[in-house]
Amino acid sequence: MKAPIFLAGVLSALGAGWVGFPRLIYKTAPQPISFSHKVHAEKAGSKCEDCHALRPDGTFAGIPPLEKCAGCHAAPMGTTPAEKAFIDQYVTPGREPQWGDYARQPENVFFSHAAHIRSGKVKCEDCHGDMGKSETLPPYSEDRVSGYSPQTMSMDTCIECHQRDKVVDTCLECHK
Amino acid sequence: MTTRRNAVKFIAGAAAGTVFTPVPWKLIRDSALWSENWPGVPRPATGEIKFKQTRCGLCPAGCAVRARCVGEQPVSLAGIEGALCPLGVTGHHLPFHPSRLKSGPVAEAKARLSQALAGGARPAVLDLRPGRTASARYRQIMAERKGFYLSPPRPPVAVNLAAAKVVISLGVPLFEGWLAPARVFAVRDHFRLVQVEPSLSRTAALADQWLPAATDLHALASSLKSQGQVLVLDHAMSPEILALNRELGGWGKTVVPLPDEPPAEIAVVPDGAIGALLIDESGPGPYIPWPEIAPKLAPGAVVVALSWWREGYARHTALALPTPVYPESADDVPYTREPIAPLVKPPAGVIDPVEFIAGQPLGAPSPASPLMAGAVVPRIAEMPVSTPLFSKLYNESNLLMHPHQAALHPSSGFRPGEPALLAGAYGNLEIEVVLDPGIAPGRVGFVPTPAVLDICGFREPQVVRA
Repeated sequence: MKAPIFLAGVLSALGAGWVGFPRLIYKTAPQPISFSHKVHAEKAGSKCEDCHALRPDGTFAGIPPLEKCAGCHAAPMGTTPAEKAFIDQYVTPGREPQWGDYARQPENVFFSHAAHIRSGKVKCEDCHGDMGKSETLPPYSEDRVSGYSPQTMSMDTCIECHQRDKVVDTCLECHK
Repeated sequence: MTTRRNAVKFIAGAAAGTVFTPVPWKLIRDSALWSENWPGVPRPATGEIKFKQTRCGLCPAGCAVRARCVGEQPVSLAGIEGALCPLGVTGHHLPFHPSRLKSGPVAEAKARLSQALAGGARPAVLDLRPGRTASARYRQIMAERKGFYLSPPRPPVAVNLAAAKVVISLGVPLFEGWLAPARVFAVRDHFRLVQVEPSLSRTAALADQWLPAATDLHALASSLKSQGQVLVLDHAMSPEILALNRELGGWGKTVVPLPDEPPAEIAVVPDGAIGALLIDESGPGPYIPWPEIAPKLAPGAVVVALSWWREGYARHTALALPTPVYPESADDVPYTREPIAPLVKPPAGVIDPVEFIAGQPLGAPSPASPLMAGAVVPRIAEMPVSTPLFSKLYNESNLLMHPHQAALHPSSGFRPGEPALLAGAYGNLEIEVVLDPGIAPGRVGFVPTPAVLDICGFREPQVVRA
């Protein structure tokens, strides 16, 4: 009996740790609107930088504000319920959608999109995967303890890439 | 069968198994990340980053400002034509000042004012920042209603340091905010500064020459004429100093007359003459001690303070109404009429002082006046206001004294940190003594907050043992 009870404890912990814990630690919420990158890329011919642009001074605009969306969607351009809901709930009342930011970096990190895209020749997909081809936005998950999304790039990833490409990886490069 | 031994075996197994799950390692990492997001850690709002331009509304210099904003909220301010002063850099914190006035009895103030004016009370407007478009409206309204347009003492001229080769300063804190620091340091290398002052102030320490006293100012100025245009300064730019500058050929070059008439000062108002006093204290700036104002009020006079904070005149009246404060307020730079564009919307419930006093919107600023480019209006008296960052950088680093401290020469007989009383003409205030060999024996260094000015007026206080 000694080994089975001990083993039962081990197996219970492994089950709870690998199956239950990931579900418990993250809270998940849908994005405000079912946004299709694919439709915008294929039907409207939009490129990543049309909405997620670098400004002339090199700063990154990030998620576009409502004003940018309303430039095209002041009135419906198609017939999808998602577009109608977006206009009714956000564009018409002028309410900014509260998007969950999958890639938000901590405040103590300085990340320059301009340096990575222009000097490093890094492509959007290298860090953001196939987001540009997605038909809908995945639900936004947030770690209940740390407050970050599981997709947030960790320091290990930064260092791995910098070392692989033989780029400076000292502390003050990112923690200015 | 459940026994204590079996329970211990199960727990031991679970503990061993947990090591091979992500739980402990994830929690260690998460707890480190969690510490970045404690409630006390400031987290700027996320949103689109924009840049806006305006002019600083905190003093008559009106420095050009570039504001970095997240969404509509400014998160950092920087100078365009040179660095901003410490208060200017932290100006966007003012709307969140702990002493910010957020509500007030507007209806009651209007009713009591109407009643007083209908009863023949003589009105007065105390404008703490003269030279603006708003000031012109106040002046016009008071002329129509036979009231008093009042303002703090101000110099009759602006100063143009760029035209001077030698500056003789009679105790003027030239590098400590008397003029806009960016304007001063932009031309610092082009003039020689002779500081005449009994105390070794910061300006004296940074001067090319420090003289504790000058027995013959004319002789000193004449001896320096060979080095180029000489400019002589004192705090108030008094008539004697202006006459000396005329003699030195500086009139219209180094000293430039201000374009409008000087407003009436409180001292010229007869005692008991004011029946309704409206105070525009919509921004940090000069402060006239209350004991200088109180005798001028008629019995039962209505006093309305249109103020951005509770620490000024709001302490002396129940009718204190909240106003917008820089960078919320639309205003203009005194004597140049450069518009100061608001960077953020003011909160609900605040009152525009011009709309309240004039009963109508201010309208567009009037055209620019002919004040010479480069000339800056000196600040005779400014009340210190601290934002959190300002406090951190200065108050806690001994670069600036705390309002509850007074500085004395080490020969004064006081011990450092000794509790004492700051004794003024109108009362006493508990303070802590700081010893500073730079202060002249017999003199007192203090921070002119409204509370301190209310006990000492315009005269220097003494420090006495508690």
